Amino acid sequence: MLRVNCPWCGFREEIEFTCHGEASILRPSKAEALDDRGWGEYVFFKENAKGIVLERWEHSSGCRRWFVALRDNVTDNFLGFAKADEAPPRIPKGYVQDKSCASIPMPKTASGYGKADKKSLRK
Amino acid sequence: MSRYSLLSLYRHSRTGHENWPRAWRNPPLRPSYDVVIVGGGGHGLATAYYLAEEFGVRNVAVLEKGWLGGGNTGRNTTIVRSGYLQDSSALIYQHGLSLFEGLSKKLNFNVMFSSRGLLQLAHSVHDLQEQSRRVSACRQNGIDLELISADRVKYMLPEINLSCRFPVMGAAYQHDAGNARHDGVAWGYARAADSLGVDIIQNCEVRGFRISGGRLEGLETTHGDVRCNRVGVVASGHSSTLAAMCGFRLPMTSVPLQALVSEPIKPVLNKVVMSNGVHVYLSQSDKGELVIGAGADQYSSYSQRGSFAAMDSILSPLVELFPYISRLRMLRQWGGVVDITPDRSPILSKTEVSGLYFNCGWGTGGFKATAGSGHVFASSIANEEMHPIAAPFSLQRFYSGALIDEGSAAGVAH
Ligand SMILES: Cc1cc2nc3c(=O)[nH]c(=O)nc-3n(C[C@H](O)[C@H](O)[C@H](O)COP(=O)(O)OP(=O)(O)OC[C@H]3O[C@@H](n4cnc5c(N)ncnc54)[C@H](O)[C@@H]3O)c2cc1C
Ligand SMILES: [Zn+2]
Repeated sequence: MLRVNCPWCGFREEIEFTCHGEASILRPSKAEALDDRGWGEYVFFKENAKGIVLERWEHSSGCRRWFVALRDNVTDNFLGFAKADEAPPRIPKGYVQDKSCASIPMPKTASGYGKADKKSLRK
Repeated sequence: MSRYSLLSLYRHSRTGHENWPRAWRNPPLRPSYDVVIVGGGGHGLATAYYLAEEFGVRNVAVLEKGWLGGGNTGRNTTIVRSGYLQDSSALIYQHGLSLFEGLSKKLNFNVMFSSRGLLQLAHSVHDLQEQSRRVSACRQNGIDLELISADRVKYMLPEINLSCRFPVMGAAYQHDAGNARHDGVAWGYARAADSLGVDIIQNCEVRGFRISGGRLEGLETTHGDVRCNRVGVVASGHSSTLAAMCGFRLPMTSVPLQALVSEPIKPVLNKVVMSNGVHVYLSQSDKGELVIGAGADQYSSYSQRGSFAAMDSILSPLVELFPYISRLRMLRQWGGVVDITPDRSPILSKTEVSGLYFNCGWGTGGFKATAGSGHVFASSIANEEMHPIAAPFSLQRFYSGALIDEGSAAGVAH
């Protein structure tokens, strides 16, 4: 069983949590201008990266608060946790990814978590 | 290809079965092909076979990064059924089921297809209503499903405990659904495709795509580069990683799905039993092991490992449903990386790169469709026009909104 570190409650077992997927998904700023393609991309399409991913988790059977977690989804190891309005966790220095990720482009989810995202998470 | 028959079995028995020829060649990668299939699971191998056998495209290679069937094909619980809710699904899954009948003969390889009958249990009034809706929809589409009472369930499955925490109130029954041997399907297609000239190359990973002016020109692999204008990517849980190499995304998440088998016991169960309510599905293999499938995990993962939480959540209701299972020891447990789409239906589609086709998104339930999917996908690649059965499963549906929603009807869609 995975042990998840809720930034408010500390380590708890996985079954108390809900994983809400990629943390880089932002509601389009000009939603009214979006065409079908734009909506489709926003609603359905995913990076679904192999390797290090930044995700939104919810302590659904606990304090019910949301936070972000950095995880290597090849080993299922968590690399860091942060409250939604904190700086996202960083990839530990010298962290070595599984060699099966060598040819796979680095996901935006881990690297492209910018200011805009932080602002929207705070709402 | 040397034919397998009673006579060949007898002949080889005279030399201690030591001189059987290899089932397929182990050729080097050639510099160019008419069509390359990426992924040597059941769907990829079936695609290559039908390309060569029915559509006359024989200059074909199948590139597999590991070993044949080592992905989800060799990890699944082998349930074959066609009782899906939507019309488009009914067509594609029924096409798959009907090709399974007679497949052993066609491939000259025993895929051990056994249409032993399949029950999907209803544990609540809501389940019953949902089942009866699906049974009616299936019957409209010519799929022989029926709603049966709890008494008939008990008659078919004498060991079942009807009044447990998840009481059994009835079931949807498909008499011509069942199981097949997963490895057998991959190997049968591989052997038959190889004999038609298809190059099957294992331990060959695709690392990149050569695309110029929106047209596909070739592939980069761990065995060198290949020139090719038509490529079918059939890589299940790894499809998003291949799409990323071409610069686009797919509407899917790769999550772990796991299964486990018990020690072998005498025959106790001659049907396939599924319960969407508790996310468990169960059958007894010819070796006597109970093959038990669990639900998917909630988080994305490429670890090929399922969580204890998911296993625990099915085993406790399962031993209530079949109390004798509490005495069994489990022998093995494993996981696969399944490619789940938002509407729980597969993707068979052209892409924004001309000449590049994707067949994926079969998620937790694509084994049953191996033959049908391979057949319509081969036709689509050969004719450069999606086959009518495959057409509704295009990527376009995520822009137009014409989803093929199997999420509610087949929540656990194995
Ligand atoms: C535990 C479990 C139980 C299941 N139970 C059922 C069931 O009862 N009934 C049912 O119908 N379905 C079931 N399924 C689903 C079913 O297994 C799959 O939908 C189906 O087998 C997919 O077949 P495939 O050929 O598309 O994929 P796979 O068999 O996964 O083949 C894809 C192949 O692509 C290869 N590949 C990936 N990336 C690359 C690359 N870069 N280069 C080269 N090769 C690459 C992989 O190594 C792999 O071998 C189950 C799945 C699991 C995991
Ligand atoms: Zn908490």
